[in-house]
Amino acid sequence: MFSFIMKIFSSPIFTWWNSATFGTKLFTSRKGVKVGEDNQGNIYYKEKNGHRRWVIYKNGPVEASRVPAEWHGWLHYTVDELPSESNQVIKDWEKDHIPNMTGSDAAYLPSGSLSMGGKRATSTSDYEPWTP
Amino acid sequence: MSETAITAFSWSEENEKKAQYHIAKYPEGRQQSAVMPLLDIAQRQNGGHVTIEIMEYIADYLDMPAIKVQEVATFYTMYNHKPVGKHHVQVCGTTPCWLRGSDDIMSACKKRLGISKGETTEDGMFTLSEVECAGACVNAPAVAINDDYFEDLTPETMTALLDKLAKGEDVKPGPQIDRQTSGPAGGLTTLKDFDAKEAE
Amino acid sequence: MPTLTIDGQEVTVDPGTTVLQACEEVGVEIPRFCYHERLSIAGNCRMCLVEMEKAPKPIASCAMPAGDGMVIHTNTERVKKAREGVMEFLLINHPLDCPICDQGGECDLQDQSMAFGGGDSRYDENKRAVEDKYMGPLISTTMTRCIHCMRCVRFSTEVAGVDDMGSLWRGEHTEVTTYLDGMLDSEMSGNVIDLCPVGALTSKPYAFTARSWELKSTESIDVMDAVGSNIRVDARGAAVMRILPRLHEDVNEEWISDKTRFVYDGLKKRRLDRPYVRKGGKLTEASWAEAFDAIKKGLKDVKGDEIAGVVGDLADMEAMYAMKDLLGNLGSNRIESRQDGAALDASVRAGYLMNSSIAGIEDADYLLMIGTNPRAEAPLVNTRIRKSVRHLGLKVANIGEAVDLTYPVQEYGNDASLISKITGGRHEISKALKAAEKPMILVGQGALQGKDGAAVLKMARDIADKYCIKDGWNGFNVLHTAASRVGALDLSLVSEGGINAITSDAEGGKIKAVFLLGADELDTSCFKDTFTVYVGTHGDEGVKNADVILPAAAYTEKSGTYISTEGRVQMTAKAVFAPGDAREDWTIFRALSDVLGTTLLYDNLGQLRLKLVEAVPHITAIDEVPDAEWGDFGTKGDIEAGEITNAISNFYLTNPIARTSDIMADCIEARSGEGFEEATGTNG
Repeated sequence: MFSFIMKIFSSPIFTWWNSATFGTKLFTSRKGVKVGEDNQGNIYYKEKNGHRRWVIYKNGPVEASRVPAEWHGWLHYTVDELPSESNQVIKDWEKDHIPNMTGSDAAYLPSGSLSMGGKRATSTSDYEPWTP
Repeated sequence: MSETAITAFSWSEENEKKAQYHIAKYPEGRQQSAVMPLLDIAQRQNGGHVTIEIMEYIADYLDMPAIKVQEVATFYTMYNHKPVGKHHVQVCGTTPCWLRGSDDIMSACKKRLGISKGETTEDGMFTLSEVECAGACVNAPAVAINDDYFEDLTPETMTALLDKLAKGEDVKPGPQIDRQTSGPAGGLTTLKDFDAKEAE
Repeated sequence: MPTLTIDGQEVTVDPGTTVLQACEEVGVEIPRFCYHERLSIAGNCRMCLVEMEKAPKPIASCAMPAGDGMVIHTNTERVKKAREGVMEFLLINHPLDCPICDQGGECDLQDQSMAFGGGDSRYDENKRAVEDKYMGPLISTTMTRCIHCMRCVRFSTEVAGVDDMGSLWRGEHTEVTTYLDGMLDSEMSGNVIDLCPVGALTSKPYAFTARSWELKSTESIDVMDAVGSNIRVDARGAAVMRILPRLHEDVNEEWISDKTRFVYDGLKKRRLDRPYVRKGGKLTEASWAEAFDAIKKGLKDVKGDEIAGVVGDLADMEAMYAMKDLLGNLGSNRIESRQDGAALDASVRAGYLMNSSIAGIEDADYLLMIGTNPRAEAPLVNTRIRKSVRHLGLKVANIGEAVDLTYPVQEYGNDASLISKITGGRHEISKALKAAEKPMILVGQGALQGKDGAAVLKMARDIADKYCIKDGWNGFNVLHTAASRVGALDLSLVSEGGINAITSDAEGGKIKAVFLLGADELDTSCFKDTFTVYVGTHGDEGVKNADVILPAAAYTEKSGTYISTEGRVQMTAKAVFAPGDAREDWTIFRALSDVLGTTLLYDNLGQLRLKLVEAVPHITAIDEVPDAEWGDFGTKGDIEAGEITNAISNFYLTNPIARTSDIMADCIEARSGEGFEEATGTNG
């Protein structure tokens, strides 16, 4: 019984963090117009009348930082042109977009961190121990 | 530090006497008061300028810290710290002399000697410098060359004066025009009948 | 007694008081740069201008003696304008580099320009620039910032007694410098850093390492010598960044010696941060439990009277007491604190104290020094003597090595046997002692270290008894060199035969185990075959032949009680934590006592101190100098003719912390003259 309730509550009806909710999917199918897809497979929609813009993430958590820079501008109404329409040049020194990895194994750790070997620059608090 | 210094300088016999004369003016234990005349004597003996060795020698001689001698020697502008020529031409540039044309005197000197302020001619004969008030305002413009004052100068008389000095001829110190010491230019204007002998 | 009115308040002051001091008495603060209460009056910064009624223009209050009936105003529009004007002139040639200046945040010029300045500058010409001077390894100079207050010059000539500093040239070209860019040849040179009201003279070792507002200050006590200077330890995180003096009129006034100020880098090097145990002849890292087990094993077949202890120069009372307690429980009372072999007598307290006290030097009118060089042994005592000689007419005589003490000294030669002639009454010194109202005898450790030390002590006692003990005046003084010594003697940490007996017994096998509490000033090779436990802070002499090393806390890392050479009880405070696994000394003995099965009866510092008070009752009188009762001490004997060697040969190398410090090493190099080539500018 308990597990059944849990299942309902963890279903896409109630949770929004694992994937888009039913409501969003329904709204998307009724009013959404697909405008494009980024290189990670996230699909971008806008309302038929053009007022709303949204994204349905491809598999995985609903995490705003998964939106790459070129789509971020469109999604936030900064620009109206779609990345595919704009003649924005991607420079060769630009790195691929990485979402926020905090909390995962790929999270950034400074070189002084213990999991990175703990090699940090010397500080004034350091002392030189005596060795025989 | 004074004990480590190599002092090449020492009093000549005559100057030693002079030094002792000045020291004797002050009470016992106050011999350091004589530092200024001693520096002057030493500067003359050394040909116009004082060096660190001289200051250390005097410091030892008067039993005072060398830094105090150095303080005195650097404070007063009439102690030179670089070698100066045989004739040290000190042009007064303070207001009365300046109003009476000291700038022209200075440029005449520069032109005649071919050097600018603070420099010494290559033959070591002349050093040119500008000084503050020489105290001879009444006969402005004035120039002090070594210990002598030359007053009421014009660019022409200045150049002539330097020419004479360069040749080694004798020059007449004091006013270079018809004037008795600091009396009125061109002779007396008042009390013309006054006879000093009669007054006695 | 002139009475004057300051801002409507009437105040009566002593004759000779200046207007500025009178203003301070009524709580009116006058801004100043050149004025300093411990230096002569110069009156050259003009910041202290105030308005005096009936005076045509503002007067410099620091140089104006207070007169009867004066009416002073310090808050009028005219005074405000005068201050703004002076400040504007001072700032004309002062660079606006506060963000990169080490004085920033604790700068008199910054503070006073905030409080009294005009707010902006009308000056748009070029500022003057001055070449920086070399002043040795301790003082960093940025002479462009100098405002010519001449405090440093006055300090070096008046207080430090070295005529090394002066101001050259004149007017706008004035430059404050040391003679020929040499270093300040003084143990007190670091004080010019504190005196400088701007950032012209700053600390070289501290340069650009911290800002003043990041630091956590802890008020503490210095242990570099036996004076007990009051200090402030400034720390950031786990590091002591600098040490500054704290005001204590009776001890250090507001000065400290260079060793006190700059020794802190020694706290970060060669530190013992984990226990070590000797295994198969090699010291290996160990845990505390392993180290204690090794001690237990090492002491297994050792009888109580085969154990000895030696206490070092930096030990605090708590540690010494805990050690004494532990060794007592093990059956040994053979603990020696006189590492240098000085024949001090612990039985009479007055026999090992500076009874006249340091401030008492100012009351004395005749001082006889026996085998001491206060300039190296206790620079602040030397400064006090110099002050007394300069201003109060103290006469100084010396038996022992003739050294430059920065004031005139009547030298009687370096011959120990001279001392025995004084009691006769016909010697020149005896006559002077007799004629003096408050004569002092200052006995150095050097005089007590020779083989006739006990006889010298006795003879000095007899001289003092004859001439120097008067109503309310005890002129017998022992100048110690170690911060721990008086405390150790109060705890009676002396043994029959002294340190020499311990070393020879250790070599002869009569002593099987020895505990060293920071004892680094003796040759430990004699403990090669003895089971040696070293408790200390640094890898120095003491660890060389140790079998077990237990890491302890240094003086900035613990709260410890120290008794200074004048018998003043003072406490250090914990500014930072001890490095690594190091622990406070007394806790080590407490923990060890558990393992050895003789648990000490205290679990915290409070309980330990209660016990300590039982043993040494006068320890409760914090920051007081209790009068010690006069008695008989020393051993009667003949004093052989011979030279006295002073106790300290090198001021900068007197303890393990100082020996570790790179700054101290730089000082030695610079003062020996080798560093002179670093000098910039002309060498003359």
